[in-house]
Amino acid sequence: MNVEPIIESGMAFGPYPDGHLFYIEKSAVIGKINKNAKKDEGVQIAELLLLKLENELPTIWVIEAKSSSPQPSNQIDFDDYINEIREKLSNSLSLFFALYLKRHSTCESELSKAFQQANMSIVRFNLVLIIHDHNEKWLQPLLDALKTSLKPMVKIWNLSPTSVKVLNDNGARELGLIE
Amino acid sequence: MINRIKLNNFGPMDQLDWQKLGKINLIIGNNSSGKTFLLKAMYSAMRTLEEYKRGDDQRKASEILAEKLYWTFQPEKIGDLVSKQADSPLFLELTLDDKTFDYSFGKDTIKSISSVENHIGSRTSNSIFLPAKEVLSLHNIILKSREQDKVFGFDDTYLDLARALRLPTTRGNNYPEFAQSRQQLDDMFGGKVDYDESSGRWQFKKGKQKFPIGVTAEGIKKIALLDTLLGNRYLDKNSVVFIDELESALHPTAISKFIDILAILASCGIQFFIASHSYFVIKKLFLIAQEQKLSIPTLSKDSDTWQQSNLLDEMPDNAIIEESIRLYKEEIGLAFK
Repeated sequence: MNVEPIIESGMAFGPYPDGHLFYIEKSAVIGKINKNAKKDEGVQIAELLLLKLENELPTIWVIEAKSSSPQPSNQIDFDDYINEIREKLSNSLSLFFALYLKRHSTCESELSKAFQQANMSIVRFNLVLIIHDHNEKWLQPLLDALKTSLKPMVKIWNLSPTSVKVLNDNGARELGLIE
Repeated sequence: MINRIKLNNFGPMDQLDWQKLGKINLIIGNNSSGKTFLLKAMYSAMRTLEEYKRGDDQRKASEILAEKLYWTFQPEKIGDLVSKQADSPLFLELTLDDKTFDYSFGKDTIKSISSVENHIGSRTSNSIFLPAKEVLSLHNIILKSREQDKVFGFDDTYLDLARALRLPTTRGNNYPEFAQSRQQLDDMFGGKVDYDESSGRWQFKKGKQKFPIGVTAEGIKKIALLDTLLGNRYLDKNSVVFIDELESALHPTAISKFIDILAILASCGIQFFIASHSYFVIKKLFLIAQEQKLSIPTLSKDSDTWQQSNLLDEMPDNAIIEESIRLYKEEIGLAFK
């Protein structure tokens, strides 16, 4: 087990079984990619990838955690927000496959054996936004917008039509994604 | 089961070739996009096949079709159904169980259709069209208006439905799925609508209480239509049911339950064509497609063209979901005004 859970956006991710978490946001490879990038100009990336066995099928959850979302009480631009999440989730999926295919020779060992040995032709992917303390009633429009925005990725990688998910803490807890 | 529908120059539809149809099929689009028109075009073709050679009816398929089109669309002459801008004739081809029925006619056609090809023959099952407006409280008015007065107003979708509802309910020996569906339909509102022979009126019975149909909720009347048609055996496992604006008069919870029942009926053979504007209808059907791995072909009108997709593969881009997102954004924006 990873002993210490990861705290992101006020939520505790893990602990998960050893080797089933890839903390992509803090990975060496993203550090290398963004080494010389100015602030906010590097490759945007999600928080983590989690490998789970569900109904005996391996599933990789690409997770972006947020502490806020567009609401009447703040001034976050809805379209900018959705674009940012789309970019982070898409980039994370691409970077994962780049690592899996050993495109980054120096960082190859970053992926655990569990990830390396997963059969990519059958593994399911979920692209997930988890928003801390978010009103359940406001999840649906965000899901609709994010689904529309990620449609090209879903089609390119032949993901399930239900692979894009937007959850709050309760939903993420029910799915065993957070403590 | 209808496998394919092909149309050229049919009213608002210049061209359409909808293939690989499923047990449940969805048509979405704005007002005046032609959804109802398409449903009626398919329905009139199906009823032509179903009335052809039934009992002692000696009419030719072309005669039945011309009457059906006249009384379903109620134009001055059936040639008015040809698209206004079209240079070529109206054409429809319907493929049923891999056999085709097609016809065509031009703008000058008054009531005689010469070009009809029927490779399907006759058909013993019945199709029905459930219109957006309620029918039960108008039942007698519809029958009088059409059977006695023979005037335009209520089209053939209403008349056929009013006649089908007149058939008495038969007890026992119904298909188990039909019986199960009827029970669920009754459970939705905790009562039952039936026809009182002595007064010649429909009524809603809940426990020992009876309510006149005029004061019965619209949603209950809508559900009662399907319940009655399953109970009186008008519908069988090969029937095709066309539902215009499924959501009309129904609360979102009732929409979900109603669609669950349709899915049970579809699994035992009935084919459905559903026209809708509703966010809930689309979402619910999308979930059924995913949960049951069920193909739900979807036709959506995007500006001038019809887009084909399948809810099993994706949620189609559509103005209904876009409007939901837009309202959310507007709500967020309101806080700063």
